[in-house]
Amino acid sequence: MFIRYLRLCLVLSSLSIFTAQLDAQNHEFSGISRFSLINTNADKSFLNEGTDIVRHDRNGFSLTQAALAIESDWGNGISSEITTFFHDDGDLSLGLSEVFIKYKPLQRAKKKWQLRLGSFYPELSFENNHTAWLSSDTYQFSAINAWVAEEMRINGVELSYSQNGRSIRSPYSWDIRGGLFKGNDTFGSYLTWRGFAVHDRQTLFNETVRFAPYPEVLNRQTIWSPNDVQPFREIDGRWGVYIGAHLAYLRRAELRYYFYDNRADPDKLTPERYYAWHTIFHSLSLNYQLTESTNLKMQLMDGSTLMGYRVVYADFSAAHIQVKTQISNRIKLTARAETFDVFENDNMPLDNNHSNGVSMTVNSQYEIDEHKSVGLEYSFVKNYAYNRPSLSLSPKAVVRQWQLTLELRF
Amino acid sequence: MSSSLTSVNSAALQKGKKHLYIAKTKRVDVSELISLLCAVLICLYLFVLSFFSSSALANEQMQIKVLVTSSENLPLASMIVEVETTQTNKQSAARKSVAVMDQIDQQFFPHILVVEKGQAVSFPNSDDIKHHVYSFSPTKTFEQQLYKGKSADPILFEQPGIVELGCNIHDWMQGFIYVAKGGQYAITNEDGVANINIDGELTRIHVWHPLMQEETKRLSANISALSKVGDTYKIVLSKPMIKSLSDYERLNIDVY
Repeated sequence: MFIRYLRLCLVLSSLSIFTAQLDAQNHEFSGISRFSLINTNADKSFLNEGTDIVRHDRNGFSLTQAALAIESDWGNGISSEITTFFHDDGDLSLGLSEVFIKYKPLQRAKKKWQLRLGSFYPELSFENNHTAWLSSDTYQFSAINAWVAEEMRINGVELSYSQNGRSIRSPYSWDIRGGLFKGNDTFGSYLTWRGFAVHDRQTLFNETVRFAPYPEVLNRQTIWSPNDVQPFREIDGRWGVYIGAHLAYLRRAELRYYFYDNRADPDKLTPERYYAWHTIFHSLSLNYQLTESTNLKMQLMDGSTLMGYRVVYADFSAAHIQVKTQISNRIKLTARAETFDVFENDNMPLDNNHSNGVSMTVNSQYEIDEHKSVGLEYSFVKNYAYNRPSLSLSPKAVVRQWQLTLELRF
Repeated sequence: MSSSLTSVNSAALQKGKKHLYIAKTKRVDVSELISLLCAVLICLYLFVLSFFSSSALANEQMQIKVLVTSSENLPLASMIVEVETTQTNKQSAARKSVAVMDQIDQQFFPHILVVEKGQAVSFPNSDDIKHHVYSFSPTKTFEQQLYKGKSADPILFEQPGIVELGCNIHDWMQGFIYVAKGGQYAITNEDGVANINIDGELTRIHVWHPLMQEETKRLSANISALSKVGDTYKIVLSKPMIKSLSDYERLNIDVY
C-alpha cells in the first residue's frame, strides 16, 4: 500500500511539472477524489478473489476515487480527453481509463457529425454523468454500469450524426452513431463466472481483474482458464461493431438505444488460455425530468455471451430505476432499485453460471460548496450465485454497506 | 429678458462709477460696495442661466411610445424596437460599457442581448464545464472557447444587425445579439409598449424578435404609414409568431 501512495506522489509531482509547461488556456483539468468511511458485512470481495459482488470487504477508511481528467483543445475542432485513476485496491494502482481524440469542426449545417477515436466508454447510460465517468447521484454504480466499468471499453472509432431540434424549431432532437472497435474479446467472462456486481471500480488499461478460484474454471478437465480477466485484450483479430440512437424531447426527456456485438470468435483462445467471448446486448436507457427538482433514470439491458463450442453460454439481463430529488439547493436524495440475472444454457453444467440478484441503493448528498460535498449511502445487495457451493459457500449472499463520503473536486 | 438684463447692467455700471469716485476720494461706502457686488453676481447668474437654458433647448429629448401587437391584436412583450430619426443616431453612454452574455446551466443568458454598434460583449462562463461559442451570422462571424473558471477577451460588434449564437459542445444552446445602430431602442414591456427617448424627428421604426415570421428579418415601417393612438405608434405583425421553444432552457428566457 505504501508503494502505491509513493507512486501516486511521484506521478502527481511529474504531472504538476508537465502541466506547468502547458499553455493553460488550451487545457482544462478536472480532478475528483472521494474519501470514504465504509461499514460493511461483506465476507470477501471479488477484487480479493472472493465471491461477494461488492468492492469493499473491510470496515474503515478508503480512498474510493482519485481521478484526474485533462481536456485539451488543439484547434480546428480537434480536442482530446485523458482520464487517469489512482486505486488503492485491485491489480493496478495508477493507470488510464479513457484516452480519446474528438473531432467536431464548427459546422454551418443543421445536421452535424462528430468523430471519436481512441479508447472510451460508449454513451449507453445517463448514470455516469460526473467527472471521470463517475455518477454524481450515487457512489456505487448500478449493476449494468459496474459491469461496463470493469469489462467494456471501445478501443476504436465512433462516428455520430445528429440534429438538434432547436435549430429547426422542433422539440425533438436525434443522434445516430456507430462504432468499430477491437480489444474487447474477453467481454462476458466476468459476467458468467462471477455474475453482475454493484461497485464503483473502473478497470484501467492493461489491468487484470481477478475473481474467485472456482475449481471448475481452473480445472484442466473442465474450463481450464485463469481465474482472472484481461478485459481489453484482442484475441481473434476481428472488429466489433455497435450502433446507437438517441432521441430527445427538448431537454426534458431522452431515450438511448444501443446494440453491441463484439463479433468475437468464441473458439479462439490465447496460449495463457484466455478465451474470446462472443457477446451481444441491447441496451435501452431513459432520462426523464419529472419536475424541476425530480429526475428519473432507467436502464434495461438484455444480451448473451458465448465461449467455446457452447462451453459457456448464458443469457443475461438487468434493469434499474433511479429517482433523484433535489430537496434544496444543497441537498439531494437518490434512490435506486435494480434486478439482474444470468441464465446459463450450455454444454458444461458442471460449470454453473446461474446467478441473479436484487439491489437497493439510497444516497443523500450535501453540497458544502462548489468544490466539496459530503454524502451518506446505504446499499443492500442480495444475490444467488450457483457456483459458490464449489467453494463450500452458500449460493446466497447478502451485503449491507454504509458509506460516508467526502468528495473533493476542482 | 434681454432688456431687463441691459437695464440691470447699466444701473450697476452707474453705481460702479459712483463707487469708484468714492474710492478715489477715499470715502468708502460699504453698502454701495455690497450693492455693486450683488449686481455683478446677478448678472453672472442670469448669463449662466440663459446659456444653459439655450443649450438644453438644443438637446431636448422627446419620449415616444411604440405598441407592438400580434396579428391577433394581442400585445407582444420582449420585442426589440429600434427607431430612426432625422438626426444622426447618437450612441448612448452604454456603448462604452462591456455588455455580458453569460453561460448559465448550459444556456445563453440573457437569451437575447441588445447592444449598440461598436459595443463589446464579454462571454463569461458561469458553468463548471467548457463551452465553445460561435456565430456564422454575417453581422459578426466568430468563435471563442470558454473554459471553466477562465475569462476570455470581450468581442467587439462593429456592424449593426442580428447575430445568432450557438455552442459547438452543447448543440441545444441558442442565443441572439441584436446590434442596434445607436442608442434609440427599447424592449417592449408586458403591455407590448416600448418607451424610447429620441433626438430629432421620428422617421422609421424597426421591430425584431427571433420568433417573428415576417417577410424580412426585421419588420420596418415609415412613420407616415403607421397609425397613432394618442401618443403611441402602433405596429401590427402580419404573421403569427412561431411557438416558443423556451422549454429547451431551464432558466426563464422570456424575462430579460
